[in-house]
Amino acid sequence: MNKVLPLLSLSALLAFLAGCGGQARYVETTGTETIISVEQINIQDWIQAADDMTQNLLASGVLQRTEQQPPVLVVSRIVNNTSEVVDTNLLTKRIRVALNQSGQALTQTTATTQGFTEDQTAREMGELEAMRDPEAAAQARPDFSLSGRLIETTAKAGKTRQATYTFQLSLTQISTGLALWEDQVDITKQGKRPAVGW
Amino acid sequence: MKLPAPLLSLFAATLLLAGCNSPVNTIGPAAPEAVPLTVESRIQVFDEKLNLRLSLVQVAEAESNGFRQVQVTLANRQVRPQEFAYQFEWIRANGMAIQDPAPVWRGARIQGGETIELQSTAPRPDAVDFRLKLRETR
Repeated sequence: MNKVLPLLSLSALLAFLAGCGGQARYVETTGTETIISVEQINIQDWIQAADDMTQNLLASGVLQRTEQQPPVLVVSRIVNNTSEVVDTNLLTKRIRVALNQSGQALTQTTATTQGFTEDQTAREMGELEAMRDPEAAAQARPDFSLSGRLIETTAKAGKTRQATYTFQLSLTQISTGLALWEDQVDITKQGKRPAVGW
Repeated sequence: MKLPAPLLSLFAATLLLAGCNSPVNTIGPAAPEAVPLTVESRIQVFDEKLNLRLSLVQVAEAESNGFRQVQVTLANRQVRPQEFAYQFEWIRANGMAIQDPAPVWRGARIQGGETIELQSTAPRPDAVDFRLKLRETR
């Protein structure tokens, strides 16, 4: 009995240290302790896709080619062709924040896309302002529109499931209608059940 | 001769695993024309095992439209594949790290004998230095 007790204590300690306790704790949002699910887009997938696309967009130099600096962009429609209900702001907002903090672009929040205006108050006040000073309103005309699509492709072999989530974005120059920058990120996951950590 | 079922299963599993973990042979020009601008690097090692398996080949840098880009080339010196996570951090000229609301750890898998390039573009034009963190995943 005397020999068993220290062994049990050691096992309990090891289990605790390995994080097997199951008690709630904070983890890094994109860290290696996050949960991976095959049948859904996890937070680390959104962040990775947004980060890849932001780096690509900044390095492309497209944002530096407009007369008005920094250029103004509006977020257009992001079509969700996946089986889950998602908030595409998880992708676009992170890109917007990164562009804003880099000083390379500003986002207009008063544009209306499919009947939705992000900041209705600012829009109404801006309309009043435009009636008083039409030139000021003309300066805030957006240069680019950001649109995209989310696609899910699944496959199954026995009990093993695979899902590829494709994130597509296009930056269209409003004056010409040309997509001056486009990018696509694919994230593929495979497994039989969700996993904690990777 | 009829082999017992467990032995057959073991044989099939071995074949499957061998197929998934095949090392990579690489072919390229003997005298490459690409001349990267290499950067001398300093490595702080805490995980000796990972450092032995995953060796640094080269650190190169470039600039694209005012943004610094870095490329770290790593080689898997063993036959087995290696899974790891990596994260780039960028630092301003005054030594302050650029804060990211959710710093991205990316997963990567490198086959035996394979060489891969990890790239990152600075999030701001005033980023001058970088740090690459590597850690083994399961």
